[in-house]
Amino acid sequence: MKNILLYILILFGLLACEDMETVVEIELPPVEKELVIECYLEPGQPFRLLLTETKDFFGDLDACPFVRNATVVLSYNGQKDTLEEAAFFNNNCDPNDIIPYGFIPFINQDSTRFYNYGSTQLCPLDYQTTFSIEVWDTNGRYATASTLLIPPSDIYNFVVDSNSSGKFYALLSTLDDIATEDYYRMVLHKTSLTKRNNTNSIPVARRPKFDRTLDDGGVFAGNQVTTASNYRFESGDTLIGTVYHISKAYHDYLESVDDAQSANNSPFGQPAVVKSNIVGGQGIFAFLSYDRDTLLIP
Amino acid sequence: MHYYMFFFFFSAPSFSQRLFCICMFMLPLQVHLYAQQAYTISGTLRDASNGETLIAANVRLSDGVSGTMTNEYGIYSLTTASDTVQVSFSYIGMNTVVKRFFLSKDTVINVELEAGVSIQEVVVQAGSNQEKVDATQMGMDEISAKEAKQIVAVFGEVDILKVLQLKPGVQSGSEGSSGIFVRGGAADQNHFVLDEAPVYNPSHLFGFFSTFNADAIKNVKLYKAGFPAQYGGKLSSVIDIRMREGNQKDFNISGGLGLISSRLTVEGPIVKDKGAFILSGRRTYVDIFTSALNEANKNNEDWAKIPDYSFYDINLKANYTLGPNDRLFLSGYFGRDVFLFKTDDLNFNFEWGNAAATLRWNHTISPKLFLNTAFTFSDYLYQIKNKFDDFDLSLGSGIRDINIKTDFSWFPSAKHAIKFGFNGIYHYFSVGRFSAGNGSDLSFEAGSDFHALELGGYFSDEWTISKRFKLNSGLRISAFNNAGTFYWTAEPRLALKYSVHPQVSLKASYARMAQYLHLVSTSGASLPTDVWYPSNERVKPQLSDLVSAGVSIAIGRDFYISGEGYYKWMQQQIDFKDGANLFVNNELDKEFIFGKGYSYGGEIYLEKKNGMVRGWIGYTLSWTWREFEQINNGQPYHPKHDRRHDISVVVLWDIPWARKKFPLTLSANWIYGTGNATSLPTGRYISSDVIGQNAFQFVPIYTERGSFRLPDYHRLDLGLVWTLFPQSKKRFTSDLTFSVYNVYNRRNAFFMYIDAIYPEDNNNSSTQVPERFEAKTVSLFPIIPTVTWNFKW
Repeated sequence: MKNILLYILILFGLLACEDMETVVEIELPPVEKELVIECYLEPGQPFRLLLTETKDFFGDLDACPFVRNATVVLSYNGQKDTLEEAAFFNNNCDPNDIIPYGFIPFINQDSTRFYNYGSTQLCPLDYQTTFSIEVWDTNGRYATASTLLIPPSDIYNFVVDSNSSGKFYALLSTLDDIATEDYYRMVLHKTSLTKRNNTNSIPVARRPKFDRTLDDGGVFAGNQVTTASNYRFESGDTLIGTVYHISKAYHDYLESVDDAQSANNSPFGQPAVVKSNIVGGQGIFAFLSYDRDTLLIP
Repeated sequence: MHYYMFFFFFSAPSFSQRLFCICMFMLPLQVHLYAQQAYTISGTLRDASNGETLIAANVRLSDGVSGTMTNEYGIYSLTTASDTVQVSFSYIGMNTVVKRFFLSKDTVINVELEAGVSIQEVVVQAGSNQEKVDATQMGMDEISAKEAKQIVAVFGEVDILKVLQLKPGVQSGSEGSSGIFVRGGAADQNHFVLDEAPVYNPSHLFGFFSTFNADAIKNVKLYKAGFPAQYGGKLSSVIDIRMREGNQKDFNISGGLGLISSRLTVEGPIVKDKGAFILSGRRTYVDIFTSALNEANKNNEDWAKIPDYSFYDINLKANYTLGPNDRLFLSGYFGRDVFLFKTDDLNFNFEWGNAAATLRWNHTISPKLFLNTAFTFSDYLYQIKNKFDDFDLSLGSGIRDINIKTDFSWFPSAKHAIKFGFNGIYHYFSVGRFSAGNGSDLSFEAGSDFHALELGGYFSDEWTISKRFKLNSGLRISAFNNAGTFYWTAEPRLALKYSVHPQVSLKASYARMAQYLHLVSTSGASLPTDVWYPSNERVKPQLSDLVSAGVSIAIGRDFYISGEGYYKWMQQQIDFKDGANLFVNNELDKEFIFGKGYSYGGEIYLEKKNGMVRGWIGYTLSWTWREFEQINNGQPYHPKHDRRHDISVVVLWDIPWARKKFPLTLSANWIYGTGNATSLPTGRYISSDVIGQNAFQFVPIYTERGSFRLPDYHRLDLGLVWTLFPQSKKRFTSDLTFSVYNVYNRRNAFFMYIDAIYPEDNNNSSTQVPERFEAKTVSLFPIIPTVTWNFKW
């Protein structure tokens, strides 16, 4: 009897140590396939655009998401510029490969991201003009958006300081115009913005040490918008600080994407709808207006 | 007055305004209807073993019609015509006392009931089911701590709130949580009252255990409909918890050793038969083991340090009888949860908890008029203190109440039981108190304080119109002031009972409730970091209107069946904008969005409280909806706690053949519930982003809120209470409680998510495409066997 009891207790113990995750079968309804535009304008840089489409969540992951043969027109100041599609040597969007063989994308200046539509025209520095994008694809889908250039917000302070252990933290700040409603994205990279990736021809950005989207609700010392890292850097490290001055639409998009991504993994999270400024599709059309500085920790 | 109300009734534009008119019309009418010659029998019922007053004990006349129950202070008052009367006093598990005498004047009879020698020999409360059938009150459940201790609990921790979750119409938020959702109401719409002091976050361990130590608790009443007029402040339920008063006869020490905590209670007379005290405490000891493990592995580089977590609570109560008509009570509660995580660089300290205190004076003005005045204090706070390297961060919120209240109970005739009173509460809110800095060039502070005043006054009359009809009508007026913004609400209450047979009655009720305090929580559950926020110019009070109707049937002396249907409308419900910043935000209310809710359903409840086999079966069929313009494209959706079917079966069995030498009581619970509503992304797209952490990061697309269900929930728990050496004459007694939670090891889902599965050879998921996606559920509690040893000396 005692042995049986012992065996039962051991069994209970083993059961209690089991993995508490269970894979379940669930059917997700198909979603409407919408155009997804990701287009960031930079004064002095050529126009670039990533055009993909939404997929069913459980859909084929290898399937190429790029939308081929679309007409992409960027309008500003009375001009219209049609963006060309990146080269696909096999003239096909390979349904079995997310990055099809023969795809030579457009790469941005920093080599941190790629696009499948682009132009040789350079984006003008014009704060008065509304920039619009229109996309038609061969399936009759249409999406459009517009945005305005806002001036960059200069870096006010980019400094490091050390603690008793010889570790450094970095502080990055900008000055906020208290008369206007402003939004910022502050990013800190170490060493460089991008990194080599031998397994993929697609450029890969280096993971930033911090990446924070801020509004002007919490300011220091009157009008400073500031963020700081932990004490994690050492003498000899190179730091790259970037302050993006972003529109409300871009701020809301970034925040809602973050919320949507975090909601999936949290028992306490609420699902969030991505706030896109694309009419008839998903994604974001925004200017990148930023100030960047590099700092070598002595 | 009546003509005016008659006119207003027919011109009133809304249903609730018409009900208000009915109440106003009936109140004065009832008071002066009866003036016949009669005398009052009154007094207090106590447990003979320790002198504690008995709540909800039965007092019945032999006519089989007249009767009452003791109130929350053990006091009764029964008025009847001058005659030879036979009065029986009974309480579950105790021998009935019968008094026969000629009633020629107002008479005080204080009775002490003695425990039955064994369950079978006890003359059980034949009248208890009858009282339920006769009462106008519906939608009320009552649990004594003694009953709760016989029901299996996770980790052997007796939890009175989890027992309430087994009643129909009451749902838990998630697996293992002690949070309750009553008839579609939200987690913040429950009014927890511990000895008349509100408790704002009644849970330990992030909601898995309630703050109420069963050793210190006497009785719990849950009101989910037909709310008596003395209660207000929350929309969906009132959970009135009464602490034990202590042993007036003898000193006792009792306690227990459990899997995760130990308990100790000391009680005894201050002056024998005049006053008593009780001091009860419990503490978890998981942190003692985790600290030892961390210390033993401090030189092991591979060791992942385990955070230290503990909770403790202390209950104290003292009472003293000042004279035949006066009694003074002092009670207090203090509890804290402590979560600590220390590494070389990080010192994370998270503490939260409640404090509550009540000073109460019971005064008998006359055999027909009783006064209870209480001064209460309540405090809830959480504080996170985080030190990372040289950075200090502190975040905290809290609410503090100071309340004075006076309640009168007046029994002017055999036909009327009138209650009236008022209260005033001063609220202090500390919201999002945040500070951060490194002591030199970095410093940041945020947070808001609010001061508010909440007032309430009420009047109600339980009017026995005839043998068949009984009407309880009441009106509560509540008011709230915060920084010059003033709200007031008339809250009519109405309950009607019609006896179609002495053991069958039909009941209906209506109640309007107003709530001026709101819990800021995005989780849908109750977490310690949730913040209480007052109504203001932007945040209007929440309102609910609840109608319910049902039937109550007593079958013999053992069985009681009830069936109830309800519909509840809820206005000014609060949710939050997507991406709301709820932590460091001086204008938190700008993140709120407002909508409405409604719920409806039916409940069936079968109970057997007497005999060797006891227990209940409850079934609930319900629908809960929320509707916000900014959520789900303005379409109604199910919140997480919407549950279509909910079944609870609770059985207690005193095993007859083991009774004398080894008394054994077997208990079993089986719970089934439709899976909670949940939201899942149905689509996705890739995003490159500017920063480009992952060239193939997926952005999930959520299309509809609450459109999926977690897998159905079901679970069987078994328990066995083994009384050790019951025939011993020694003062020391003890028992062993064996329990197995989740006997068939069901993996009930705590939540569901979609996981990205990367190829096994992938060493950098930030640049690779997942192989596939899988939907996964995460469970918390597998089968958990527990042994608890309890003792009393």
